[in-house]
Amino acid sequence: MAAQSPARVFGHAEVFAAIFALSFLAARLLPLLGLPYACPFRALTGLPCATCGMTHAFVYLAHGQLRAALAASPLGALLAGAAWLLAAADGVRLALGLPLPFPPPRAVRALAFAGLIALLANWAFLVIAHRT
Amino acid sequence: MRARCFRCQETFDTDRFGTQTCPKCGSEIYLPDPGAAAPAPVAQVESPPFPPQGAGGPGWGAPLPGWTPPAVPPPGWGALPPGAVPPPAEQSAPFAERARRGFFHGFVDTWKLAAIEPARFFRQVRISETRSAVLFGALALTLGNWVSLVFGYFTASATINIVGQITRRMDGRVDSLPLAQIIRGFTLQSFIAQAIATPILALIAVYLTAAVFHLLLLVVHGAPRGFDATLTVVGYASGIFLIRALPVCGAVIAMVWFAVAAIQGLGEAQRTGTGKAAFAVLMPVLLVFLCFCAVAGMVGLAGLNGLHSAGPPPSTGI
Repeated sequence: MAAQSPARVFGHAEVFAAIFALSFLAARLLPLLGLPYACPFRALTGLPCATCGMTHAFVYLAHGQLRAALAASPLGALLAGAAWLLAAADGVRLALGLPLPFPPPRAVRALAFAGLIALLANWAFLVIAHRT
Repeated sequence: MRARCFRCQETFDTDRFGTQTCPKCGSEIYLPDPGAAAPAPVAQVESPPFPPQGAGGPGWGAPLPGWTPPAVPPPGWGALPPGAVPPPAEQSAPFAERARRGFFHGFVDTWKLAAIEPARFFRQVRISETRSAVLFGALALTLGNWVSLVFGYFTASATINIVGQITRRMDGRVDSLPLAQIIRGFTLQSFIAQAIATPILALIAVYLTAAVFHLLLLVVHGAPRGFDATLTVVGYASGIFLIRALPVCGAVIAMVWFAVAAIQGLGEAQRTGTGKAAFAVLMPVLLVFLCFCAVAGMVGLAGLNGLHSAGPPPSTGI
């Protein structure tokens, strides 16, 4: 696994870590589930769209309700957990002054491909579990 | 013999020296011939005589006799003369040179290049200046969204009326409550909150869009120049979302135009071709459009049914 020089202190990784940390604060502190918004696709078809339930999953997980988060959207719960872990890990890395580890391109490619499959599988789960 | 590309670091086989194109990333590279004769030593040139006492130094005093001003600088991002081939060298976007060109001129020139000539612009633009690209995209997204918010706020009541009349024609097949809730959400408080949050959300949108495109490019082996190239394209192409300021149809026009510019831009900036770039851009856009098209299609079908139903339709007020 290659590593980036620590010279670049606030790079892309830190921006993404900040975004992920912000998403935790928003899910934890803001009344996101009270916003007057509903998925137009679901309103018309009765079926959830591919990203339905993500907000619920983030909010539930930020409040420690793992079961509810998984029920709302398994991929959303997984994304939330992974994003917040990455943000925390990047904070620790910065505090210790360690270089940014870079996974090999093949691993990143495999991860991206797995993400696509997971999105489709999650959509299938939502359609079956939440069909109205 | 084996050669290594200085840009993508991939190796490839070739049977000649000199200028050639890397088959992996398309960069033009030069392979020097090790058997060629060494270049002739440069002739010793005598330094010019020192100016006489009191004439000043070379930088500050009066010019020496025989001095001529330097030639006109190269045209940079200006229009190419007919038949000219654009230089392969990278150069900064006009917005990245805003300190020299002026903020407004830099913004407008960059917007024109990214929106009207995306292929040429993104082939030549320097990908190491991602901060300027992100700032440009966030600024354009913010301005476009602010104008769109103002328009939405002042036309909210009329929009609720129109949506109500359309959904009445659909005989209750569509739940109008979510749409009405969205529109009623345009209170003064929410308007102010959205206006304040827009710059941060715009910044996040540029980064997340670039991340999604880059992951999809990685799936098809289409990102040899790294995340900086993807972020540069998304940042500058997001300038097109300034068109969201146009009422009613601005958002749709901006999304289609952005998709076209991003496909061309990613293909050129990543040196990967438009096929892979189209996959990366259209996969998420198709998902978004699937939702919007489903909505528009059902509203349109129901509207047609409403026209065929007995009795005159209620007035839409427009």
